[in-house]
Amino acid sequence: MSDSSIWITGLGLLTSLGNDFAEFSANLLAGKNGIRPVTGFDVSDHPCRIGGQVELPPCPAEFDPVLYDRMLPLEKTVIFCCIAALRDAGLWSDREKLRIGLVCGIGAEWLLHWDFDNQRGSRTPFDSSVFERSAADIAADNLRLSGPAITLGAACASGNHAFDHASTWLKMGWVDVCLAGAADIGITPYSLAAFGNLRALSRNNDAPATALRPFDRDRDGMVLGEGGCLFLLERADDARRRARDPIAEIAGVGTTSDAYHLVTPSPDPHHAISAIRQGLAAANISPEEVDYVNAHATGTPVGDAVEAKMLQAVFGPHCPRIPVSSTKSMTGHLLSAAAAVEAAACLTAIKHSAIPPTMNLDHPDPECDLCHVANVPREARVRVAISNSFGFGGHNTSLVLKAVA
Amino acid sequence: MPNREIKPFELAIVARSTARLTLAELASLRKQPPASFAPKLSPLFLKHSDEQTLAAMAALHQARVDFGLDSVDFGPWAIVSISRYMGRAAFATLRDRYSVDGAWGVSVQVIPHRTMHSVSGTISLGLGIHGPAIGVNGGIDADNTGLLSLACIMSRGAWQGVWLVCSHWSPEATVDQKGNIVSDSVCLAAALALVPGDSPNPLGYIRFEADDQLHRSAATRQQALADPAVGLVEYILDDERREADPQLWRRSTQTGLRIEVGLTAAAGVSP
Repeated sequence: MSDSSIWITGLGLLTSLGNDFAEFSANLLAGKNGIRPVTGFDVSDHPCRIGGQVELPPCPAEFDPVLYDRMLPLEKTVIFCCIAALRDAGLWSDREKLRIGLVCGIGAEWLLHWDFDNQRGSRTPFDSSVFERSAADIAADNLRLSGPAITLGAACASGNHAFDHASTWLKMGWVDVCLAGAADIGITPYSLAAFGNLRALSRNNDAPATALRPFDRDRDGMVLGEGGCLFLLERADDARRRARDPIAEIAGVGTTSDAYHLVTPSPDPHHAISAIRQGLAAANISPEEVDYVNAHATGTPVGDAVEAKMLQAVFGPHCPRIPVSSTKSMTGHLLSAAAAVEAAACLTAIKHSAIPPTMNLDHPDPECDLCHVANVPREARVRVAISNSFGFGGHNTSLVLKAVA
Repeated sequence: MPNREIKPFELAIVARSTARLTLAELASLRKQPPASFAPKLSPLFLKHSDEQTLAAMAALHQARVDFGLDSVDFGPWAIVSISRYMGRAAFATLRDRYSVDGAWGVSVQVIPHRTMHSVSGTISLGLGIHGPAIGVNGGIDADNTGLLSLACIMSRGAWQGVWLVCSHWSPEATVDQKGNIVSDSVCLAAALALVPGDSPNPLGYIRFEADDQLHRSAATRQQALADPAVGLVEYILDDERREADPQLWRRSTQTGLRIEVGLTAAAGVSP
């Protein structure tokens, strides 16, 4: 009998906690923190001066170093993660025999593109005769991927939409395998200033590692992170045929919009709750079967409390025993790449039977009454994990990941 | 090789319209938003919106009026926006303000109003859309791949309909150091309302079919980039060209999928 499940059989990532899955998982479970003082530009007049910055990796051995050197940071990130995911899935050398799609969530692609381009002295923002290409397009061409390639933006929920798109393309038979995930190199002078002026960022500049405090009563905002993560998705039947073990199954994705405000989440979490329920229904999972929730929880006073309300509504009497954590406390908030990196955190929990903690959760806010995994990892068999991601503009998404027997 | 069962998919077009707006017309639209949005989106809000957002709103409003969708509840709908090179002028302004005033000079409105999801986010807010609201791609060839998002959203049958709004400057806008648009460009937009393919009396269709002969390659990419003017917006705008070649918009040679967009009725006809 045909199995229409979608499996993850490889991933590549770039984060402040490591540039491969093993290192990232080890650091997450050790409670290490990737948030430090921002370097690379003058931050002296910025309200927030800390972040989870990444160091761009050297050119992968499989790629042309001259070409890589010419690329912008966002393009390098996508290329690096795609190559690592293809290699991890054992498909690098076969990639030209397959129709490989690419769906990459990037929320502010052109602002970042022009920012980096301008920093290296180019005048492309002011030269409209140059038809620039998206990072996904550049990656697909240079890696010789023959399927469709798009970037999509739904703010901080972009990565979960990418999983949804890629899963659908696979189910429709439009691609043989698909790379899906997100990337964001958002710690730039302009974006650090814009988020800082919005009063969305923590001002706890003197203590970077303890600044981001999701669900804690003393939280004072988020801290930006950056990086990316791309996953290799394929149909279960195809993976079995080539004897690949799955890392997990993409069991469902729920997506809705608040239609309330371009920045603030709706105080009525009805539509966000619908997204979580939609994801669970698509996965055919009942709420009590969930073993772990990777919360969106960015450490803002409003957002964390609203998310706690959502989880209480979805899980009802089971809520007090379903472990919840926010790994942003260690990585920072990766904006459009958050959902993708947090999906990797869920895979860590599934693979290692251990739930990464919310760091800096010393005094849980009574408004956020959940089963917190605070400050130390918790050993637990994780068969089903969900990852919530909500974005500016009221984008609500929830991804359901399942261990494969 | 994987065992790929290719599933075709079709959406019916039930409303469509276009907008072609000069800078002056966009400025007045900011002060007096189209009626479809006026109750929720005030001039104070639209003061920060990108010009492509305003043009998309204008096209969508006209489609809604022309094809009798005034009383439709768009709660169970979704929206996909395909805006080209979103935020170019905003970036120049940002750069200028930062160089003069430092961090404090950067507007908090840039992130919500000038990024890829801003068009769909604003329209979802204005129309009360509770389905997914996504911004796609944004490069020169965005129309083509952006259409794949429609199929993704609608294939599961979770939403009653989806708005597609495409927008760009023609010619691509040139901005000065302060972010003013200094070229003689107009902002073009098209809006299509789409529902599942079995709808009666559609105005047209978008059809997705796989074709294993079609592969993404450097050559086909160059071909697509060589003619950026034949975008979806131009196809919908240009009645003459479309009538001369009813199957003009048959693209996606680089994706392995043939996407056909067909329009079968003139504007102003009720569905």
